[in-house]
Amino acid sequence: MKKIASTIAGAVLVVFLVTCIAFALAALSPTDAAVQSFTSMGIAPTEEQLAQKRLELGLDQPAPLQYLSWLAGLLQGDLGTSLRTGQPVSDMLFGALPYTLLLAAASLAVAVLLAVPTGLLCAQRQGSVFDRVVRAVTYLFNALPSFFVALILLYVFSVGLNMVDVLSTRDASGVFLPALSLGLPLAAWLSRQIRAYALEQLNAPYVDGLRSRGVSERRILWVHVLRNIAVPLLTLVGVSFGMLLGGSAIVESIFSWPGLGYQSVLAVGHRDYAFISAFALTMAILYLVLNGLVDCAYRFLDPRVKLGASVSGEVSDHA
Amino acid sequence: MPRPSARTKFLMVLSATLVFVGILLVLPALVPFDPNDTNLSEALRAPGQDGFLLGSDQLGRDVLLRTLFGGSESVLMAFAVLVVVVLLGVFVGLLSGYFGGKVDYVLSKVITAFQAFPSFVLAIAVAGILGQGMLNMVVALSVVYWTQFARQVRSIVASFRHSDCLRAARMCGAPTRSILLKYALPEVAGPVAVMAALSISDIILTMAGLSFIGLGPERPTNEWGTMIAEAQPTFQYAIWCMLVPMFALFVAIVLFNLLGDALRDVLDARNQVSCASDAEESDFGRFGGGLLSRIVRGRQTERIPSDGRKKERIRS
Repeated sequence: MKKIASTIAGAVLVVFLVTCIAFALAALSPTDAAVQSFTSMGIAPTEEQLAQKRLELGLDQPAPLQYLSWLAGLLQGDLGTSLRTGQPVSDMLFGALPYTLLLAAASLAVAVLLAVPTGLLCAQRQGSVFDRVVRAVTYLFNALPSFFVALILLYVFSVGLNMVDVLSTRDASGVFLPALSLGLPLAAWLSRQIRAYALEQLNAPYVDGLRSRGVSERRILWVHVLRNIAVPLLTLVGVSFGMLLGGSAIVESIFSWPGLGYQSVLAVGHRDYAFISAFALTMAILYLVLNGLVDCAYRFLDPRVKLGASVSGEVSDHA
Repeated sequence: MPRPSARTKFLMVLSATLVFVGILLVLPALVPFDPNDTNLSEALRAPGQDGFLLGSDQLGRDVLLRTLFGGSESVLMAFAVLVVVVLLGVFVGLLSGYFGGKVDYVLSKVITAFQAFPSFVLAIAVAGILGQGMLNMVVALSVVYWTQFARQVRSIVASFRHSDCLRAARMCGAPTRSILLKYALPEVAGPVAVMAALSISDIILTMAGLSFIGLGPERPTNEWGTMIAEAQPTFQYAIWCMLVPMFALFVAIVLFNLLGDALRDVLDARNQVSCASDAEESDFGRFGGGLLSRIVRGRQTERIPSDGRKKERIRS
C-alpha cells in the first residue's frame, strides 16, 4: 500500500513539473500574449489597447501567480484561447484528437500486421537469405523518416497512378496513405525487435521439449512463441503508440489530415503559443497516462515485473 | 563473434563517415560557386542539362551544390546540439547518480517530466515558440535530447557508487571533485559515446523535420529539410529537386546509424561498470585517447568486477 502511495505521489510530482514546463514554454516567447493576440488577427494595437489587454490576460501579475491562475483554469478544463482562431483551445484539441487517434491506431495496425509475421519468420529462418534480405530492408526502412515515405507515396499516387481522390478525403478512407507512411518505418523497427524476442524464445529449452513431443515447427512458432512474446510485444505497442501520437505532425500536414499534429503545425506557423503549450501539455499527460496503463497491464500479465519499472525506465538502476 | 571483425567494421564505418562529413564541411570553403545564386532563366532544368549535374530548382539554383552546402549546416548544428546535450546530460547525471537521496529524487522527476513530452512535440513547441533561426533550433533539440544522456549517466554513476573502486578512492582521501572527474567520468565515456553516435542520426532527422515545417534556419538556407519543403510545389514535374536532398539525408542517417551500431559492438566489453585495473593500464581514464587506442590496437581488457577478481584478455 505504501508503495502505491509513493508511486502516486511521484506521479503527481511529475505531472506538476510537466505543467511547469508547459507554462514555461509559453513564457519563452519573444513577444508577449497581448501583442500576439492582436498581431495574429492582423491588427496593429495602440499602447492603450496593449495595456488593456495585458490587464485582461493578467500579464501584469508576477509569474508564480500567473502560473497558479493558469493551473486553476486547467483544472476546470479551460486550456486557454487560441491566438490564431480565437476559439477555445480545448475545443480545437478535442476536435482534432479523434483524427489523430484513428491515424495512430491504423498505423499501429499496419505496423503490427506487417512486423509480426516478418519478425517471426526471420527468427525461424535465422541466417538464411530470406533473413538477411529482410534485415537489410528493415534496416533501411528504419532509417527512412515517415515524411519521406509520405512524400513518396503522395508522388506515386498523385502523379504516377493519378488517384488524386484517395488524397482529398477526410473520412476514414483518407487514413490509408498517412497510416501507410507512419506504419511502414514503424513496421521495420518492430520486426527487428520481434525477431530478437522470437530468437530468444526459440533458443529456450521448452522449444526443444515441444519438438521432442512432435509439435510441428509451424505451431511452435505461431502458437507458442507468439504467446510468449506477447507481453514484451505489448510494451512495444505501447511505446509505438506514444511515438505515433508525437510523430504524426508532419505526415498529417502533408496529407492535410486534420489531426492534432496538423493543428500544431498551423499553430507554429502563426506563433499561436497558447495552443502550442496547451498541446504540448495534453500530449505529455496522454503519454504519461499511456505509460501508466502499459505498466499496469504489463504487471498484470507478468507478475514477475516490479511495479514502477515503467517504459521510461524511471526506477531501474540499470541502463 | 571474432573481435577483429567488429573492430575493422567500426574503422571502416568511421572512415566512411569521416569522409562524408569531411566533404560536407570542407566543400563550402573550396568551391567558388554560390549555391544561392538565383538565375530564373535556368530554372527547373533536368539533371544533366545545361551543366547542372543534378538539375536546378525553381529559382535556377544548382541542386547538387545546394545539397552539399546544406550538409555542412546540418552537420554543424547536429554537433552543436550534441555538445550541449552531452555536457548537460553528463552534468545532471553525475550529480543525480553520485549524490543520490533527495537530489537524485528531484532530478529524476525533472528528467521524467521532460521525457513525458513526445520528442517531436517538444521540439516543435520550443522551436515554434522561439521562432526560426539556427540557435533556436539548437536550443529546441537540446531540450529534447538531453534527458536520455542524463538517464544513462545517472544509472552508470549510481552503480559505480557501490563499487570497490570508489570505496578505495574514498579511503585514500580523494575529494569528491576528483572522484567525479577522475573515476566516474571515464566510466561514463564509452556508453555516452555510443549514445551520442546513435543520437546524431535522430537529431539530423528531427532537424530536417523541423525545417520542413518552416522552423529552423531562416531562409535562404540550404538545409535539407527546407530544400525538400521548397521542392514540394514543383515535385510533379521536377522530382529531382526533392529526391537529391532526400537521398543525402538518407545517406547521412544510415551512415550515422551504422557508426553508432559499430561503436556499440566494439565497446561491448566495456559495458560492465567496474574499477580499472592498476597503474600498468596506462590508458585508463583518458577519454578519447584511451578509447581509440584500445580499439585500434585491438586490446580488449576486461575491467575488474566489483568482487576484486582481475581478468585480462588480449585479443589480436
